Amino acid sequence: MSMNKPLNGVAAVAALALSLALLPGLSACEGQVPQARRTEPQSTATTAPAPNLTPAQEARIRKSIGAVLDQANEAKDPAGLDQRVSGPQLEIRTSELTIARATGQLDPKTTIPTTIAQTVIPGDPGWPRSVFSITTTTQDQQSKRLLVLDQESAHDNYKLWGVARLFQGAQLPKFPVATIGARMGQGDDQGLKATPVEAVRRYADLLQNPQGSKYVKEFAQDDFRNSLGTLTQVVQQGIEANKGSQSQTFTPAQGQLRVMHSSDGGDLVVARIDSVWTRQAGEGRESSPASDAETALFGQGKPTSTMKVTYVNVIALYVPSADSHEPIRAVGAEREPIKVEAV
Amino acid sequence: MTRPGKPSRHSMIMRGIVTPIFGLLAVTAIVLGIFNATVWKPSAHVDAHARTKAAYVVTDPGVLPLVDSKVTMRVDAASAGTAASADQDSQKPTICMALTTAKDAAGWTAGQDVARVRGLDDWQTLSVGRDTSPGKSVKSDQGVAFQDSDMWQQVTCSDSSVSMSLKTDDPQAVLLVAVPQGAHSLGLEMLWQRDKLPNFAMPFYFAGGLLALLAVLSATVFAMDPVKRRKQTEPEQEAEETPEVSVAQALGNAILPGLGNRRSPASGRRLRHARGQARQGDPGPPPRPPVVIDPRNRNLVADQQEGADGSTVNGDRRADDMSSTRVISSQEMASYLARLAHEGEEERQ
Repeated sequence: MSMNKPLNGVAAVAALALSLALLPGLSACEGQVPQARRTEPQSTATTAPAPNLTPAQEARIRKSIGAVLDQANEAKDPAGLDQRVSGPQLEIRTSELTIARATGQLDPKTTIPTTIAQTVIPGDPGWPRSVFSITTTTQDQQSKRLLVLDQESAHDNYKLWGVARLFQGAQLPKFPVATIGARMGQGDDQGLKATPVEAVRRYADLLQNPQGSKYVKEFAQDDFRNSLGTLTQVVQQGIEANKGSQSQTFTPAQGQLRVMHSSDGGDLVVARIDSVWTRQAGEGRESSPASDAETALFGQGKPTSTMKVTYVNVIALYVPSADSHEPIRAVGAEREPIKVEAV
Repeated sequence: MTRPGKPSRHSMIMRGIVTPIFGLLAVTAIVLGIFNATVWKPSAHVDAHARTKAAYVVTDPGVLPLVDSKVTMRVDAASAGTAASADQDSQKPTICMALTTAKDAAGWTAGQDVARVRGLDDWQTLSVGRDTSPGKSVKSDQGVAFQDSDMWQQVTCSDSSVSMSLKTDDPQAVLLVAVPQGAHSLGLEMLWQRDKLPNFAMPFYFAGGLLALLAVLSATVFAMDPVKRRKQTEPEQEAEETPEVSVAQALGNAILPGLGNRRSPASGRRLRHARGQARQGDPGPPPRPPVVIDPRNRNLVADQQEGADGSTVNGDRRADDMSSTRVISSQEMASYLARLAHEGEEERQ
């Protein structure tokens, strides 16, 4: 008898528990109403935020931009470009189309491949937002292009803000894949060899004083400075022959830079640097345009002894982290005269 | 003790009361299980509605995959019942719906009043609240049209009614509904299609089976008189337990293997059982004390002679054990003793 008492007790408890367990099942035949879980606000400091665009959206945006560019290229007319082009690229493209109308053909360097090798899509909330896309090489084996797509506000669409032709063999830093989401940087980012704004200012100083700049050791040698130096030297020889003079000033455009954090701690900075090239002919001679592009822009203007040419330069700089042993290096650039005037 | 032929009070309670209760519960559980698998089966479609008046409606993060990944949202401006809205309906407002992320929806609706679909109040009703998106509002004539924005993964616009079907598990995905003409009375409907229906029948079947088993056990084993059950098992147990080796015997075996030679045919399982009993304090057969043999107190020669005569004493377990474990012959023992004596003499010298 003593053995069975606990058994009866267990059975009674089991029966009671089962009866209770069955009650909620009877009351809600569809189950409990699910509740939406509130997701934590995304932290931009620690977790990788979801990218602002899907790769498919990025492709759609590029296609849309490409359609506007194609339309302008066919008409050789910059009208309507501002729907999808902004920033320094709007001025550069307008100038390229003006030159094309004068020369009858578009410079091959204006080609933007439709396929990309990589896209860097940030997940930062807020505006303005940027997307960096790196195209493949062109069909005629020109170098890859770094495209900066910019969205100024939520009610604006992405526009092509800047294009830099990457130098041959240029090593770009690593970025998170497009499905993870990168992080945008700011002009005053710390922990780098120099803040992005300061790096651009120093590079502009280096362009203006190729030999005498105190920042010469902070930057690696690059194709843009080399070709600019060569051109200046050739022009200098001509000017010296007629006892003239030339000067170039490079000024970073205020707030005209876009920054993206790379995976290895540095920043990829794309910035606009305006430059003015003043050439003065000596011995009462006239100063003439120095290139076909300048000639096209100058048009039927009456030359004087002084020619002032305004250029828009777009420079892509990689600024490594402060603890890196690498120097700051330019990885790509674009340079286009936008105004030629005789003064 | 009960009289033979008459069931005990215990079995009467078990068979008369407990078994029917278990049986009844088992039948109830199985019937409820059948109901849950048929008439009460959860619907594969969850269709929830709400009505609101707003220029923007946005689902909260996590609402789209709330029930299942396949969801359809339908927004209808034409089905408003009021007279005021009937006038508006005649204008057939364009309604746009876009799939986007919560931060982009918040960016587009910055500074605007927004109706938020927070989830489900019950299975038929959407929970809708009102909110103002943080940020500075943008004038409607600035920027691109809603349907032309790059921010939408999918977008569709239509007059007076619009719907979008999605398959998404992304908790950040939201649907943003916009009425470009301004606030309007809107009928909202969200329809989820469930691929995996919750199986509410299985727990009932399981409980039913368990209760049926308990009913059978109550009618048989549990209903048996405990004394009778013990009587049936005890003799059998004793017969089995007798040849078991107790812990003390096993210990004795370890000290003097010859004494523990009485090997039983018990299997390993039973040995374990016996050890278990010893642990539980079951008295069992009284253990024999270990036998310690002091060779100094024994006349080994006499023992030897006794062995040589073949006059082992039957029934004397120790003698029996000794003879059975003997591994040297009497001659070998005699020569050993002679050698021992000789060595002793040499040492003395």
